Amino acid sequence: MHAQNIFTPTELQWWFNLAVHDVLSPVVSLSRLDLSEVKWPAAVPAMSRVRWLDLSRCKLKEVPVVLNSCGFLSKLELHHNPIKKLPDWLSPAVALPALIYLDVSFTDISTLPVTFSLLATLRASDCDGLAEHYKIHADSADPSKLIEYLKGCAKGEMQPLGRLTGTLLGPANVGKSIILECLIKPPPGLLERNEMKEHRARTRYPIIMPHEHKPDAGAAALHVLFTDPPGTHLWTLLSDKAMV
Amino acid sequence: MIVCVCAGDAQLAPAVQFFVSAENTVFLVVINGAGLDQESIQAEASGVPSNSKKIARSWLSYVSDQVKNYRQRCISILVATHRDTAEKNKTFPRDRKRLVELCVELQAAYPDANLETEPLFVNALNRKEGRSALWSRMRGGASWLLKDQMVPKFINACGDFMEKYIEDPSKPQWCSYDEFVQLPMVKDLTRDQRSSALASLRKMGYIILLPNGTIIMKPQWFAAAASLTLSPPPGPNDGNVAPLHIQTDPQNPGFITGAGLKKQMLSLTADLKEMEWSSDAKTRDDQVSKLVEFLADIGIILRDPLDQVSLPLARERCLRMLCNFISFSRC
Repeated sequence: MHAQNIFTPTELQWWFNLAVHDVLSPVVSLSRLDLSEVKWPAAVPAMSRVRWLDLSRCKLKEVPVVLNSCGFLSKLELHHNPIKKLPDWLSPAVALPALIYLDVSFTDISTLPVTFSLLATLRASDCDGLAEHYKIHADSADPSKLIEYLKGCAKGEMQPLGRLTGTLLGPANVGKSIILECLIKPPPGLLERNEMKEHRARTRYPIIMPHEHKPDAGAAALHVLFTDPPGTHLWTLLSDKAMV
Repeated sequence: MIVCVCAGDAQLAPAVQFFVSAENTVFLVVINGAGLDQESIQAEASGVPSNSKKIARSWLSYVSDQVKNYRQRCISILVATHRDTAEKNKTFPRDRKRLVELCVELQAAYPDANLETEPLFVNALNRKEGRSALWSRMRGGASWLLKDQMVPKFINACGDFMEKYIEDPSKPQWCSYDEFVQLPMVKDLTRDQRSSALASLRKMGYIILLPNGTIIMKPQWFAAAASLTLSPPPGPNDGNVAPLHIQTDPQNPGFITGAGLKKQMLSLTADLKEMEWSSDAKTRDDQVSKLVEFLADIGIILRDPLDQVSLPLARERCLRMLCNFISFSRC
């Protein structure tokens, strides 16, 4: 089957305006065409007949909404685009029931929906921002690892992450350790002192401390792994070339 | 305290870098806010940026580099301390105005650091207002960073397990991969889930993976020990605190025998609860030997064939090695 290659914005506009019965091929490639500034129409009749679509290296920051009308789309290439988030409808479980192959490698995505477990093939290698529990499988030499892992996730319970690192940075003796103490100590009781002691021993080595913060209003707990390193001497910072 | 003798990428206390490349991080960049207005007036008159500005710029520059290099998600918050002093000296409104201006300037200069527009000016000694203000901003940052971040239940369970593990002095500070997969939180997981759990715990900073495959289960223990071998002689800011500095051979600076290093490590850290030294002499000896082995594994100390240990002849070089190791281990 011959692919219809679209190389220029003029050809793209022509393709946008094609009537359904004029579509030459269900395999369409826009690869390497700069689509970062393209205004996508609300509807592209030709889309309804597309089965394979190559949008790789198109400088896309978002997945074009018009793709949600590709009811027959089975293979979608989105790799090498600065896409940060995949829309909820981009899934065989939502707007693309025929989708079986998706490649989002080399994008800026940070997570994957578990509904991608319905795909036959999913590629998401070299996504530097991808959550580590996915990334270890996405970058595996075995291309089936990621989809197998996602299938496992789909069977179990998914939860909000609720964990991060809190790092204090600053010069020596500025109050970083007091800030940490203030954060991890509970608020004072009715008869307790509100003020903490001001003078304390200088931090000699990095403090690494997990803390679970439970807010009063019944919101979910937040787990923070605090890092409080010894402050850098002022003269070291002031002689730094990076300050320019 | 670790002082880097060279400007640039080795400027930070090396152990900081264990965590600056974590997956989701809120950075609190702390400066002294009291007298900021006066400092800024003097800086404008002299044409040289104020110390506070230089400090904040230096850290935000570093954070920006990390974020770009490792595509990590972060929020930075500029926190000024000593609000009580500013209020007492009646400079608070002017200091605060300067702080806001500084924050806007820094935000424009370091977009990758994701600095929040609104700085915090706190009296961190105040457990009510200070605490509330700090947590409010921490939670705001967390909510943005963690939005849509869903994980399988076992990832959170592993994090919970590690939080308890870290605080239990009866648990070992390190283990092998085979021992790791026998831990209660891991042993019932599938092979794929185990890989994910290990990778996530490492990325979140709960564990450290050494090149030889050893898993450091208590990062606090390892960071304290690593700092020990890199700490300089006592400085003017150390006050009455006993310095953590290893004396090398005066005739052969930078060198120390293996036995001498172990002896000093034990004596210098005898009062550090994080080191969790055993009360049994034999076990304690094994612990310190392992620690030296781990530090050698990441190149902080170098062994020669006669088992003489070399502490960094050039601390700069050593810091760079550690930074490189840490960056590598988290990528």
